Amino acid sequence: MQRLLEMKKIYHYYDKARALEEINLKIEEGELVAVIGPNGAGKSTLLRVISGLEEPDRGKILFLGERIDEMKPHKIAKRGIAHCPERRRLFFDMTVMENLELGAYFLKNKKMFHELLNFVFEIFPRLDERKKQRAGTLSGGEQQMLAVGRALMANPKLLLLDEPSLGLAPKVKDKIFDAIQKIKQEGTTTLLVEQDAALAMDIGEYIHVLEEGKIEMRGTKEELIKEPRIKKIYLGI
Amino acid sequence: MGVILEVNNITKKYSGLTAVNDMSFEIHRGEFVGLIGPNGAGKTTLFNLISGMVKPSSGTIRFDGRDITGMKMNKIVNLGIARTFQLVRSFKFMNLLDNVGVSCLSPRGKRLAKEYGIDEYASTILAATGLVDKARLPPIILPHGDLRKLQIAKALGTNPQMLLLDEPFSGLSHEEQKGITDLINKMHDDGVTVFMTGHVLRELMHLVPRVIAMVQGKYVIEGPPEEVANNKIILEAYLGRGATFA
Repeated sequence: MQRLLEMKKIYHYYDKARALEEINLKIEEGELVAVIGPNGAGKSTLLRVISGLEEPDRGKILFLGERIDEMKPHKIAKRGIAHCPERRRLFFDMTVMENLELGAYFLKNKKMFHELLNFVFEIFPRLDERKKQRAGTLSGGEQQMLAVGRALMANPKLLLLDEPSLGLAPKVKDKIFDAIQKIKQEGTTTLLVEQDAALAMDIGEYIHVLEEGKIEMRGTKEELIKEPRIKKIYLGI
Repeated sequence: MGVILEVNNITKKYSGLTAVNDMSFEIHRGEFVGLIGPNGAGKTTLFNLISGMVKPSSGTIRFDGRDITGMKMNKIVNLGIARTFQLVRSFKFMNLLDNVGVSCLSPRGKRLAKEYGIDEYASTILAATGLVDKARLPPIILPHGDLRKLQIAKALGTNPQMLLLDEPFSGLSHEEQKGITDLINKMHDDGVTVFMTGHVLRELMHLVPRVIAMVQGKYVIEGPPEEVANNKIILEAYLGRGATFA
Protein backbone atom coordinates (compact mmCIF):
# COMPACT_ATOMS: atom_id res chain seq x y z
CA MET A 1 0.00 0.00 0.00
CA GLN A 2 1.12 3.44 -0.88
CA ARG A 3 0.66 6.45 1.34
CA LEU A 4 -1.71 8.74 -0.48
CA LEU A 5 -2.22 11.60 1.93
CA GLU A 6 -0.50 12.76 5.04
CA MET A 7 -1.45 15.75 7.19
CA LYS A 8 1.24 16.83 9.61
CA LYS A 9 0.42 19.11 12.53
CA ILE A 10 -2.18 21.12 10.68
CA TYR A 11 -3.61 24.21 12.36
CA HIS A 12 -6.28 26.46 10.95
CA TYR A 13 -7.98 29.58 12.25
CA TYR A 14 -10.95 31.55 10.97
CA ASP A 15 -10.03 35.04 11.97
CA LYS A 16 -9.23 34.42 15.62
CA ALA A 17 -11.37 31.34 16.13
CA ARG A 18 -9.45 28.10 16.06
CA ALA A 19 -10.95 25.51 13.72
CA LEU A 20 -8.21 22.87 13.54
CA GLU A 21 -5.52 22.05 16.05
CA GLU A 22 -2.56 19.77 15.46
CA ILE A 23 -4.24 17.46 12.98
CA ASN A 24 -2.17 14.40 12.08
CA LEU A 25 -3.85 12.06 9.65
CA LYS A 26 -2.68 9.46 7.14
CA ILE A 27 -4.55 7.77 4.36
CA GLU A 28 -3.21 4.74 2.53
CA GLU A 29 -4.24 3.91 -1.01
CA GLY A 30 -7.54 2.04 -1.20
CA GLU A 31 -8.70 2.96 2.30
CA LEU A 32 -12.07 4.32 3.34
CA VAL A 33 -11.35 6.63 6.23
CA ALA A 34 -14.09 8.38 8.17
CA VAL A 35 -13.94 11.48 10.33
CA ILE A 36 -16.85 11.88 12.71
CA GLY A 37 -17.66 14.55 15.25
CA PRO A 38 -20.42 16.90 16.30
CA ASN A 39 -21.43 20.04 14.49
CA GLY A 40 -18.71 22.66 14.63
CA ALA A 41 -15.93 20.16 15.35
CA GLY A 42 -14.01 21.24 12.24
CA LYS A 43 -14.92 18.42 9.84
CA SER A 44 -15.62 20.56 6.79
CA THR A 45 -12.56 22.69 7.48
CA LEU A 46 -10.46 19.53 7.50
CA LEU A 47 -11.58 18.75 3.94
CA ARG A 48 -11.26 22.39 2.86
CA VAL A 49 -7.61 22.58 3.83
CA ILE A 50 -6.90 19.38 1.91
CA SER A 51 -8.52 20.58 -1.31
CA GLY A 52 -6.96 24.03 -0.97
CA LEU A 53 -10.16 25.99 -0.35
CA GLU A 54 -8.49 27.10 2.87
CA GLU A 55 -4.77 27.45 3.31
CA PRO A 56 -3.73 25.97 6.66
CA ASP A 57 -2.10 28.43 9.05
CA ARG A 58 0.53 25.88 10.08
CA GLY A 59 1.59 22.37 9.17
CA LYS A 60 2.15 20.34 6.05
CA ILE A 61 -0.02 18.29 3.75
CA LEU A 62 1.59 15.74 1.48
CA PHE A 63 -0.22 14.09 -1.41
CA LEU A 64 1.76 11.25 -2.96
CA GLY A 65 4.81 12.74 -1.32
CA GLU A 66 4.31 16.22 -2.73
CA ARG A 67 3.49 19.30 -0.61
CA ILE A 68 0.04 20.60 -1.52
CA ASP A 69 -0.71 22.87 1.43
CA GLU A 70 0.24 26.05 -0.42
CA MET A 71 -1.18 25.02 -3.75
CA LYS A 72 -4.24 26.56 -5.44
CA PRO A 73 -7.39 24.41 -5.41
CA HIS A 74 -7.43 23.84 -9.17
CA LYS A 75 -3.88 22.48 -9.07
CA ILE A 76 -4.78 20.17 -6.23
CA ALA A 77 -7.84 18.98 -8.15
CA LYS A 78 -5.64 18.31 -11.15
CA ARG A 79 -3.39 16.10 -9.05
CA GLY A 80 -6.36 13.84 -8.31
CA ILE A 81 -8.27 15.10 -5.29
CA ALA A 82 -12.00 15.55 -5.86
CA HIS A 83 -14.02 17.40 -3.23
CA CYS A 84 -17.73 16.70 -2.94
CA PRO A 85 -18.76 19.67 -0.81
CA GLU A 86 -21.29 20.05 1.96
CA ARG A 87 -24.72 21.01 0.64
CA ARG A 88 -23.74 19.67 -2.78
CA ARG A 89 -23.07 22.95 -4.62
CA LEU A 90 -24.38 21.67 -7.93
CA PHE A 91 -24.81 23.75 -11.05
CA PHE A 92 -28.55 23.88 -10.52
CA ASP A 93 -29.50 25.39 -13.86
CA MET A 94 -27.56 22.80 -15.80
CA THR A 95 -28.66 19.29 -16.59
CA VAL A 96 -27.49 16.19 -14.78
CA MET A 97 -25.32 15.32 -17.75
CA GLU A 98 -23.76 18.77 -17.91
CA ASN A 99 -22.91 18.60 -14.22
CA LEU A 100 -21.20 15.26 -14.78
CA GLU A 101 -19.32 16.60 -17.80
CA LEU A 102 -18.03 19.48 -15.70
CA GLY A 103 -16.81 17.00 -13.13
CA ALA A 104 -14.64 15.54 -15.88
CA TYR A 105 -13.21 18.97 -16.71
CA PHE A 106 -9.57 17.89 -16.47
CA LEU A 107 -10.10 14.57 -18.19
CA LYS A 108 -8.46 14.29 -21.62
CA ASN A 109 -9.27 10.71 -22.48
CA LYS A 110 -12.68 10.16 -24.12
CA LYS A 111 -12.71 6.45 -23.47
CA MET A 112 -12.04 7.10 -19.82
CA PHE A 113 -14.92 9.57 -19.76
CA HIS A 114 -17.34 6.89 -20.94
CA GLU A 115 -15.99 4.32 -18.52
CA LEU A 116 -16.46 6.73 -15.64
CA LEU A 117 -19.91 7.70 -16.82
CA ASN A 118 -20.90 4.04 -17.01
CA PHE A 119 -19.62 3.49 -13.49
CA VAL A 120 -21.55 6.51 -12.15
CA PHE A 121 -24.75 5.34 -13.85
CA GLU A 122 -24.18 1.83 -12.56
CA ILE A 123 -24.05 2.92 -8.93
CA PHE A 124 -26.68 5.65 -9.38
CA PRO A 125 -29.15 4.41 -12.03
CA ARG A 126 -31.41 7.34 -11.13
CA LEU A 127 -28.90 9.73 -12.66
CA ASP A 128 -29.05 7.83 -15.93
CA GLU A 129 -32.85 8.09 -15.93
CA ARG A 130 -32.67 11.82 -15.26
CA LYS A 131 -29.63 12.83 -17.24
CA LYS A 132 -31.48 15.46 -19.28
CA GLN A 133 -33.22 16.97 -16.29
CA ARG A 134 -32.05 20.19 -14.65
CA ALA A 135 -30.11 19.50 -11.46
CA GLY A 136 -32.23 21.98 -9.51
CA THR A 137 -35.34 19.88 -10.11
CA LEU A 138 -33.90 16.73 -8.53
CA SER A 139 -34.89 15.50 -5.06
CA GLY A 140 -32.41 15.96 -2.20
CA GLY A 141 -31.19 12.40 -2.43
CA GLU A 142 -30.75 12.59 -6.20
CA GLN A 143 -28.84 15.84 -5.83
CA GLN A 144 -26.50 14.13 -3.40
CA MET A 145 -26.03 11.29 -5.88
CA LEU A 146 -25.19 13.81 -8.55
CA ALA A 147 -22.70 15.59 -6.31
CA VAL A 148 -20.91 12.32 -5.62
CA GLY A 149 -21.15 11.34 -9.29
CA ARG A 150 -19.71 14.66 -10.41
CA ALA A 151 -16.71 14.17 -8.09
CA LEU A 152 -16.22 10.64 -9.42
CA MET A 153 -16.13 11.94 -13.00
CA ALA A 154 -12.76 13.52 -12.20
CA ASN A 155 -11.40 10.00 -11.80
CA PRO A 156 -9.97 10.97 -8.43
CA LYS A 157 -7.16 9.24 -6.61
CA LEU A 158 -8.70 10.62 -3.44
CA LEU A 159 -12.39 11.36 -3.02
CA LEU A 160 -13.40 13.81 -0.26
CA LEU A 161 -17.02 13.48 0.83
CA ASP A 162 -18.50 16.13 3.10
CA GLU A 163 -21.64 15.10 5.01
CA PRO A 164 -23.29 13.09 2.24
CA SER A 165 -26.14 12.18 4.63
CA LEU A 166 -27.08 15.78 5.40
CA GLY A 167 -30.80 16.39 5.28
CA LEU A 168 -31.66 13.00 3.80
CA ALA A 169 -34.33 10.54 4.92
CA PRO A 170 -33.00 7.30 6.47
CA LYS A 171 -33.72 5.17 3.39
CA VAL A 172 -32.01 7.63 1.07
CA LYS A 173 -29.04 7.83 3.43
CA ASP A 174 -28.68 4.06 3.20
CA LYS A 175 -28.66 4.24 -0.61
CA ILE A 176 -25.91 6.85 -0.62
CA PHE A 177 -23.87 4.87 1.86
CA ASP A 178 -24.25 1.66 -0.14
CA ALA A 179 -22.89 3.58 -3.11
CA ILE A 180 -19.94 4.85 -1.08
CA GLN A 181 -19.06 1.28 -0.22
CA LYS A 182 -19.25 0.30 -3.88
CA ILE A 183 -16.96 3.17 -4.78
CA LYS A 184 -14.50 1.92 -2.21
CA GLN A 185 -14.72 -1.64 -3.56
CA GLU A 186 -13.87 -0.28 -7.00
CA GLY A 187 -10.65 0.99 -5.47
CA THR A 188 -11.23 4.70 -4.96
CA THR A 189 -9.60 5.95 -1.78
CA THR A 190 -12.15 7.93 0.17
CA LEU A 191 -12.11 10.36 3.08
CA LEU A 192 -15.61 10.67 4.45
CA VAL A 193 -16.59 13.38 6.89
CA GLU A 194 -19.89 12.72 8.59
CA GLN A 195 -21.94 13.86 11.54
CA ASP A 196 -23.97 10.64 11.56
CA ALA A 197 -21.54 8.63 13.65
CA ALA A 198 -23.47 5.37 13.45
CA LEU A 199 -23.54 5.36 9.64
CA ALA A 200 -19.93 6.45 9.22
CA MET A 201 -18.67 3.88 11.68
CA ASP A 202 -20.49 1.15 9.80
CA ILE A 203 -18.56 1.79 6.62
CA GLY A 204 -15.30 3.47 7.69
CA GLU A 205 -12.36 1.10 7.97
CA TYR A 206 -10.59 3.55 10.18
CA ILE A 207 -12.33 6.30 12.09
CA HIS A 208 -11.07 9.55 13.53
CA VAL A 209 -13.15 11.38 16.11
CA LEU A 210 -12.89 15.13 15.91
CA GLU A 211 -13.85 17.38 18.80
CA GLU A 212 -13.39 21.13 18.70
CA GLY A 213 -10.74 20.94 16.02
CA LYS A 214 -8.70 18.16 17.58
CA ILE A 215 -8.60 14.45 16.85
CA GLU A 216 -9.52 13.04 20.24
CA MET A 217 -9.67 9.36 19.35
CA ARG A 218 -9.04 7.06 16.43
CA GLY A 219 -9.49 3.41 15.68
CA THR A 220 -11.65 0.81 14.03
CA LYS A 221 -15.36 0.49 14.73
CA GLU A 222 -14.69 -2.44 17.06
CA GLU A 223 -12.25 -0.35 19.05
CA LEU A 224 -14.39 2.75 19.21
CA ILE A 225 -17.79 1.23 19.85
CA LYS A 226 -16.82 0.47 23.44
CA GLU A 227 -15.72 4.04 24.01
CA PRO A 228 -18.08 5.97 26.27
CA ARG A 229 -16.23 9.13 25.24
CA ILE A 230 -17.92 9.26 21.82
CA LYS A 231 -21.33 9.80 23.35
CA LYS A 232 -19.73 12.34 25.64
CA ILE A 233 -18.18 14.22 22.73
CA TYR A 234 -21.54 14.47 21.00
CA LEU A 235 -23.73 15.07 24.04
CA GLY A 236 -21.29 16.59 26.49
CA ILE A 237 -22.22 14.23 29.28
CA MET B 1 -40.98 31.84 41.21
CA GLY B 2 -43.71 32.27 38.61
CA VAL B 3 -43.55 31.56 34.92
CA ILE B 4 -41.71 34.28 33.00
CA LEU B 5 -41.88 32.80 29.50
CA GLU B 6 -44.71 30.70 28.18
CA VAL B 7 -44.51 29.28 24.67
CA ASN B 8 -47.71 27.68 23.42
CA ASN B 9 -47.91 25.56 20.28
CA ILE B 10 -45.57 27.83 18.40
CA THR B 11 -45.00 26.97 14.72
CA LYS B 12 -42.87 28.66 12.10
CA LYS B 13 -43.19 27.60 8.49
CA TYR B 14 -40.96 28.76 5.69
CA SER B 15 -42.08 27.79 2.20
CA GLY B 16 -42.23 24.02 2.42
CA LEU B 17 -40.15 23.76 5.57
CA THR B 18 -41.46 23.75 9.12
CA ALA B 19 -38.54 25.10 11.13
CA VAL B 20 -40.39 25.06 14.44
CA ASN B 21 -43.28 22.67 14.78
CA ASP B 22 -45.82 23.06 17.56
CA MET B 23 -43.38 23.74 20.40
CA SER B 24 -44.71 24.36 23.90
CA PHE B 25 -42.74 24.91 27.11
CA GLU B 26 -42.38 27.22 30.09
CA ILE B 27 -39.48 28.93 31.76
CA HIS B 28 -39.67 30.20 35.33
CA ARG B 29 -38.39 33.50 36.61
CA GLY B 30 -34.74 33.19 37.59
CA GLU B 31 -34.29 29.82 35.90
CA PHE B 32 -31.24 28.71 33.95
CA VAL B 33 -32.27 26.56 30.99
CA GLY B 34 -30.44 25.09 28.01
CA LEU B 35 -31.92 24.48 24.56
CA ILE B 36 -30.30 21.63 22.67
CA GLY B 37 -30.85 19.84 19.40
CA PRO B 38 -28.69 18.79 16.46
CA ASN B 39 -27.85 21.08 13.59
CA GLY B 40 -31.01 22.30 11.90
CA ALA B 41 -33.26 21.43 14.84
CA GLY B 42 -34.72 24.95 14.87
CA LYS B 43 -33.02 26.41 17.95
CA THR B 44 -32.11 29.72 16.38
CA THR B 45 -35.54 30.03 14.75
CA LEU B 46 -37.08 29.54 18.18
CA PHE B 47 -34.90 32.35 19.55
CA ASN B 48 -35.86 34.49 16.56
CA LEU B 49 -39.52 33.89 17.38
CA ILE B 50 -39.15 34.73 21.06
CA SER B 51 -37.10 37.86 20.41
CA GLY B 52 -39.46 39.06 17.68
CA MET B 53 -37.09 38.83 14.72
CA VAL B 54 -39.57 36.63 12.90
CA LYS B 55 -43.31 36.21 13.33
CA PRO B 56 -44.78 32.79 14.10
CA SER B 57 -47.12 31.06 11.65
CA SER B 58 -49.25 30.04 14.60
CA GLY B 59 -49.10 29.74 18.38
CA THR B 60 -48.57 32.27 21.15
CA ILE B 61 -45.71 33.54 23.28
CA ARG B 62 -46.30 35.20 26.64
CA PHE B 63 -43.58 37.01 28.53
CA ASP B 64 -43.92 38.38 32.04
CA GLY B 65 -47.70 38.03 31.87
CA ARG B 66 -48.07 39.75 28.53
CA ASP B 67 -48.82 38.38 25.06
CA ILE B 68 -45.80 39.25 22.92
CA THR B 69 -46.74 37.12 19.90
CA GLY B 70 -45.80 38.92 16.70
CA MET B 71 -44.56 41.99 18.57
CA LYS B 72 -41.62 43.89 17.02
CA MET B 73 -38.21 43.17 18.46
CA ASN B 74 -37.61 46.72 19.68
CA LYS B 75 -40.81 46.44 21.73
CA ILE B 76 -39.79 43.06 23.09
CA VAL B 77 -36.36 44.23 24.17
CA ASN B 78 -38.07 47.05 26.06
CA LEU B 79 -40.12 44.50 27.96
CA GLY B 80 -36.89 42.86 29.06
CA ILE B 81 -35.78 40.13 26.64
CA ALA B 82 -32.27 40.60 25.26
CA ARG B 83 -30.51 38.20 22.95
CA THR B 84 -27.08 37.51 21.52
CA PHE B 85 -26.30 36.03 18.14
CA GLN B 86 -24.42 32.99 16.95
CA LEU B 87 -22.06 35.18 14.93
CA VAL B 88 -20.65 38.07 16.91
CA ARG B 89 -21.98 41.45 15.90
CA SER B 90 -20.37 44.65 17.14
CA PHE B 91 -19.98 48.26 16.14
CA LYS B 92 -16.51 47.48 14.87
CA PHE B 93 -14.93 50.90 14.96
CA MET B 94 -16.54 52.23 18.14
CA ASN B 95 -14.76 51.52 21.40
CA LEU B 96 -16.22 48.99 23.83
CA LEU B 97 -17.56 51.66 26.14
CA ASP B 98 -19.58 53.15 23.29
CA ASN B 99 -20.64 49.72 22.06
CA VAL B 100 -22.23 49.05 25.43
CA GLY B 101 -23.29 52.69 25.73
CA VAL B 102 -25.55 52.27 22.71
CA SER B 103 -27.63 49.61 24.39
CA CYS B 104 -27.66 51.63 27.63
CA LEU B 105 -29.64 54.23 25.64
CA SER B 106 -32.58 51.84 25.36
CA PRO B 107 -35.52 52.77 27.62
CA ARG B 108 -34.81 50.07 30.21
CA GLY B 109 -31.08 50.75 30.10
CA LYS B 110 -31.60 54.49 30.41
CA ARG B 111 -33.70 54.10 33.52
CA LEU B 112 -30.70 52.65 35.31
CA ALA B 113 -28.09 54.65 33.46
CA LYS B 114 -29.53 58.04 34.34
CA GLU B 115 -28.61 57.57 37.98
CA TYR B 116 -24.94 57.29 37.06
CA GLY B 117 -24.59 58.65 33.54
CA ILE B 118 -24.28 56.50 30.44
CA ASP B 119 -20.49 56.14 30.47
CA GLU B 120 -20.34 55.31 34.12
CA TYR B 121 -23.11 52.75 33.77
CA ALA B 122 -21.54 51.21 30.65
CA SER B 123 -18.25 50.96 32.59
CA THR B 124 -19.88 49.01 35.38
CA ILE B 125 -21.17 46.55 32.80
CA LEU B 126 -17.72 46.29 31.23
CA ALA B 127 -16.30 45.69 34.71
CA ALA B 128 -18.84 42.96 35.36
CA THR B 129 -17.99 41.28 32.05
CA GLY B 130 -14.24 41.55 32.54
CA LEU B 131 -13.70 44.03 29.74
CA VAL B 132 -13.13 47.24 31.64
CA ASP B 133 -9.39 47.34 30.86
CA LYS B 134 -10.28 47.38 27.19
CA ALA B 135 -13.01 50.01 27.39
CA ARG B 136 -11.21 52.36 25.02
CA LEU B 137 -10.32 49.76 22.40
CA PRO B 138 -12.40 48.97 19.31
CA PRO B 139 -13.77 45.41 18.89
CA ILE B 140 -11.86 44.97 15.66
CA ILE B 141 -8.55 44.39 17.48
CA LEU B 142 -9.85 42.07 20.20
CA PRO B 143 -9.72 38.28 20.41
CA HIS B 144 -12.85 36.26 19.76
CA GLY B 145 -13.37 35.48 23.46
CA ASP B 146 -13.59 39.17 24.31
CA LEU B 147 -16.04 39.74 21.47
CA ARG B 148 -18.29 37.01 22.88
CA LYS B 149 -18.18 38.78 26.23
CA LEU B 150 -19.00 42.04 24.50
CA GLN B 151 -22.15 40.49 23.02
CA ILE B 152 -23.33 39.66 26.51
CA ALA B 153 -22.29 43.11 27.77
CA LYS B 154 -24.36 44.77 25.03
CA ALA B 155 -27.34 42.60 25.93
CA LEU B 156 -26.93 43.55 29.60
CA GLY B 157 -26.94 47.22 28.66
CA THR B 158 -30.66 46.91 27.94
CA ASN B 159 -31.19 45.82 31.55
CA PRO B 160 -32.94 42.57 30.62
CA GLN B 161 -35.03 40.29 32.79
CA MET B 162 -34.22 37.45 30.47
CA LEU B 163 -31.18 36.70 28.32
CA LEU B 164 -31.36 34.52 25.23
CA LEU B 165 -27.83 33.39 24.40
CA ASP B 166 -27.40 31.76 20.99
CA GLU B 167 -24.26 29.63 20.90
CA PRO B 168 -22.21 31.75 23.30
CA PHE B 169 -19.31 29.26 23.19
CA SER B 170 -18.89 28.77 19.48
CA GLY B 171 -15.41 29.35 18.13
CA LEU B 172 -13.87 29.73 21.58
CA SER B 173 -10.85 28.04 23.11
CA HIS B 174 -11.26 26.14 26.36
CA GLU B 175 -9.92 29.01 28.42
CA GLU B 176 -12.27 31.41 26.73
CA GLN B 177 -15.22 29.07 27.23
CA LYS B 178 -14.48 29.02 30.94
CA GLY B 179 -14.49 32.81 31.01
CA ILE B 180 -17.92 32.89 29.36
CA THR B 181 -19.21 30.20 31.69
CA ASP B 182 -18.19 32.25 34.73
CA LEU B 183 -19.79 35.31 33.25
CA ILE B 184 -23.09 33.58 32.49
CA ASN B 185 -23.16 32.09 35.99
CA LYS B 186 -22.65 35.54 37.45
CA MET B 187 -25.52 37.00 35.39
CA HIS B 188 -27.74 34.21 36.56
CA ASP B 189 -26.73 34.74 40.20
CA ASP B 190 -27.69 38.38 39.78
CA GLY B 191 -31.22 37.24 39.04
CA VAL B 192 -31.36 37.27 35.24
CA THR B 193 -33.31 34.39 33.70
CA VAL B 194 -31.01 32.66 31.20
CA PHE B 195 -32.08 30.57 28.20
CA MET B 196 -29.21 29.43 26.02
CA THR B 197 -28.38 27.16 23.10
CA GLY B 198 -25.13 25.44 22.35
CA HIS B 199 -23.98 22.72 20.07
CA VAL B 200 -20.78 22.56 22.05
CA LEU B 201 -22.61 20.53 24.64
CA ARG B 202 -19.60 19.89 26.83
CA GLU B 203 -19.96 23.26 28.51
CA LEU B 204 -23.70 23.62 28.31
CA MET B 205 -24.65 20.24 29.77
CA HIS B 206 -22.62 20.89 32.91
CA LEU B 207 -23.81 24.42 33.30
CA VAL B 208 -27.61 24.22 33.33
CA PRO B 209 -29.83 22.24 35.68
CA ARG B 210 -32.50 21.77 33.03
CA VAL B 211 -32.46 21.39 29.26
CA ILE B 212 -35.19 21.40 26.66
CA ALA B 213 -34.39 19.26 23.62
CA MET B 214 -35.77 19.64 20.13
CA VAL B 215 -35.24 17.61 16.96
CA GLN B 216 -36.39 18.67 13.49
CA GLY B 217 -38.45 21.54 14.85
CA LYS B 218 -40.26 19.48 17.45
CA TYR B 219 -40.16 19.31 21.21
CA VAL B 220 -38.74 15.97 22.37
CA ILE B 221 -37.99 16.04 26.08
CA GLU B 222 -36.99 18.30 28.93
CA GLY B 223 -35.30 17.55 32.22
CA PRO B 224 -31.89 17.24 33.86
CA PRO B 225 -29.07 17.01 31.28
CA GLU B 226 -28.16 13.45 32.28
CA GLU B 227 -31.68 12.25 31.64
CA VAL B 228 -32.06 14.09 28.32
CA ALA B 229 -28.69 12.81 27.04
CA ASN B 230 -29.85 9.24 27.52
CA ASN B 231 -33.12 9.66 25.72
CA LYS B 232 -33.22 7.37 22.70
CA ILE B 233 -34.56 9.98 20.26
CA ILE B 234 -31.87 12.43 21.34
CA LEU B 235 -29.08 9.84 21.14
CA GLU B 236 -30.13 8.86 17.63
CA ALA B 237 -30.55 12.46 16.56
CA TYR B 238 -26.97 13.22 17.56
CA LEU B 239 -25.17 9.98 16.84
CA GLY B 240 -27.21 8.38 14.07
CA ARG B 241 -29.80 5.69 13.78
CA GLY B 242 -29.27 2.54 15.77
CA ALA B 243 -26.42 4.22 17.62
CA THR B 244 -25.24 1.60 20.07
CA PHE B 245 -22.38 3.27 21.79
CA ALA B 246 -21.30 2.48 25.29
